[in-house]
Amino acid sequence: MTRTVKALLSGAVLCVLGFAVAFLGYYMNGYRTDNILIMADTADATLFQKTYSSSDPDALTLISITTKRMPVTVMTHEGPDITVEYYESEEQTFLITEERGKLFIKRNDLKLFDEYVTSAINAWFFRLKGIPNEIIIYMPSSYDQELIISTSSGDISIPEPLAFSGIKKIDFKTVNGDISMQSLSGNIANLKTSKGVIACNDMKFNNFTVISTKGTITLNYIDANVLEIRTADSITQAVNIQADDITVETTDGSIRLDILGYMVEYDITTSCKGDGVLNISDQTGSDEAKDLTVFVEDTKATVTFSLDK
Amino acid sequence: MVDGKTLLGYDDKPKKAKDIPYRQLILLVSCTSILWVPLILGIIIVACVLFTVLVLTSVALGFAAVTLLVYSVFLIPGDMWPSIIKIGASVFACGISVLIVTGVTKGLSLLFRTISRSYHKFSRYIQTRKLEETLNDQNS
Repeated sequence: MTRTVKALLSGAVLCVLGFAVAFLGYYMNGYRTDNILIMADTADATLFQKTYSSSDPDALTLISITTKRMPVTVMTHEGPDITVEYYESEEQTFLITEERGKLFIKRNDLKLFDEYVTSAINAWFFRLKGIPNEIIIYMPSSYDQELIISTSSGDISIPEPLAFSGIKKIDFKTVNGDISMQSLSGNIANLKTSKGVIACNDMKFNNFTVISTKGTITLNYIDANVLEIRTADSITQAVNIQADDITVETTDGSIRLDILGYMVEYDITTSCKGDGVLNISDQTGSDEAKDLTVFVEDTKATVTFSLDK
Repeated sequence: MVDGKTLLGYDDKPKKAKDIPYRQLILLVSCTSILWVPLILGIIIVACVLFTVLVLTSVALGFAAVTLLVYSVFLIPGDMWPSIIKIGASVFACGISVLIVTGVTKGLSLLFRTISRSYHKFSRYIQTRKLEETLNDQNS
């Protein structure tokens, strides 16, 4: 008996066996198929909303949210309260600790199978059926300390413009999700995604760092002292950029950088590796001693200075 | 006496009288290459793409089926018969995956073997024609 015949026979046996088992289940289930997706209903029924309010919001210097497979939204209001809305079930629980001015919200880890199979399937059903499973944090717009959010397969967003002015640090990290915000100002902003979209508009930070592996970055009107864009295999479009120290590094990704300034203002350092193509060359002795560093590997980068046009 | 032969030794009823001469045949093959080369390449590319898509789809289907199977096993205590239906469907999907992968692999192997055989057959035919013509030239 050849290998092909053996494989075909195995496949046929599996098919017949599967059909027989499914038919047995169908017969014993009273010829019903409407309840075979019962796990979605179970998940639906067990997911319930909870709220946590900070006991001493004025004393908070750090808010950290660490979760998986759910979006995190930051909303601001005029009051002093810091409130977190989240969803829990038997499988999905959070550990919330607040001590010495630090608020930590962390989704508890599950066992390996539950984490990567049960939880992943449940998250898929929640999304499919439109069941909300997210974290929303309501905080005062006057909050000026650190905000750290980490998630996977979920978006991180600050939908309201002018939500914060003068926040000390924003550190957002997601794997497959998007990061979006607009009209914010502060000291440090670190944004990182692997495959999502980073969209920022009208931002003013001292240090602004964007890191992406295979995502898309769209920046518009960014004002920073130090701006870093590090990508690999990503599409980056940064326009109306104002920064004293700009570092752009990419491998296999495409970059279009439009700087709101004159070319003579910048000391330019470039490096092209592999098939990298860059439309500017090294330059020293600038008027304003601003720095622009561009590292390109195996890709094309275009840098333009809008005031030279 | 051999059919088509006369006592004088020439063939007055040649069986391959309508065959195109060797040089013209080569010319014909070369001239029509613009048609058959893309055709053969197209068939190979389509077969390879189809093979890849089907194999990847089947592997994904198989993986999803095994995942659902394991997941359903854990759901048996709470919800027995719907879980049994899911297990059956998963096993059936696994079988389908195995059948698709086997069939597609065998099909691709057969295609390449047929192309190879046809090439060798045609190559031998050309060589035979060349030999025949060389012999005819020598005899005449």
